[in-house]
Amino acid sequence: MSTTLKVVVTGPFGAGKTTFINAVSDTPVVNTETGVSDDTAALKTNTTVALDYGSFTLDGDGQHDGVELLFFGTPGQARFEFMWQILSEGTHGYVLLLDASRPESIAEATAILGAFREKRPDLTVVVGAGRTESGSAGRAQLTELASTLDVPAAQVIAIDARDPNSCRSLLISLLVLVFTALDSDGTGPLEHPGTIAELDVIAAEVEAEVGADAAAASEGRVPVGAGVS
Amino acid sequence: VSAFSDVVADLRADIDGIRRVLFCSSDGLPIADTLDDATNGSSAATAATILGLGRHTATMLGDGAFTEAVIRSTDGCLVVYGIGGEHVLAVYCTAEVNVTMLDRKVGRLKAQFDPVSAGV
Repeated sequence: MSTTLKVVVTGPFGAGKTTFINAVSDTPVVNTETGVSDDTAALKTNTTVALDYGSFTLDGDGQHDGVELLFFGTPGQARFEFMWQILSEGTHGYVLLLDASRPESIAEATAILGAFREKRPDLTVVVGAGRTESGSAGRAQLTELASTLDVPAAQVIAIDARDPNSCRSLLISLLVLVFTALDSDGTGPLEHPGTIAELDVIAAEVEAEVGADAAAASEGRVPVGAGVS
Repeated sequence: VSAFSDVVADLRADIDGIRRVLFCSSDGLPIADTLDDATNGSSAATAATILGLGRHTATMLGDGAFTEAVIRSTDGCLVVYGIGGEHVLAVYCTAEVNVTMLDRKVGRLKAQFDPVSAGV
């Protein structure tokens, strides 16, 4: 038996949403990409026009339920805002990706976050910041991003969307927050593994698989269980 | 745009019930539209979304390339055509429109969209 969660992967054009889903999905990915016809082609030649779809399963172990994550990736441009609304229906949490090296990407991500908060103000979000500086400069960048986006610092995480381990580490952070939210209100809309302790068992198994490379790749991410009371 | 006007006039001459014709890029940017209002951008994005889903569905079915998608509502009908690999034609019609005739007409007119596309 497993729990199924819907996760929206959103963010501005060129933030790495399609790359993220391609990297993390363990099933064939649905992409709806087409060529870029305006001057943003200098940044990227293809863009998603409807959605990306993929999934990832954390296996249970007999004692604990597994978790199946269904990913719905949105188009990034504001003209596709209606798709953000459509895809966010029934979602349990979302990943907001951005390119930390481009101020316009941060501004667009702020607007997207605002659109999601307008419709679902309590929905759990984890921000994946790509192309951050390394070391202390990178940590300062993440702190500033958290302030700009008005998101708790522990929920703003450096990520390399090309690296499956980096993506999965971010997803574990999101899962912890989602289950924490479900536990805290006691009225979760779904049957879920029930306790963060159970999720931590699953997360620990994933962490073991991911190994040391993920720790380096996901510098700055929230440790599993952090902020969980 | 004059080439677009010619295409629209040609469509309307043979097909009753056409309310609006929109031509846009496959990534959802409007190129020409018979309706000049604030909905141009979102309408083009919607048409491109339908095209994207249509293409994916056609690929999934394995029965050849996407040609058009028809969305019917109680009082209207929207037909979205792929034009070449990079453009979309969206025709907004009354519910009574003869879609079969529209398909044939658009098929015959496809070459006429080349100058409209080139004018981007």
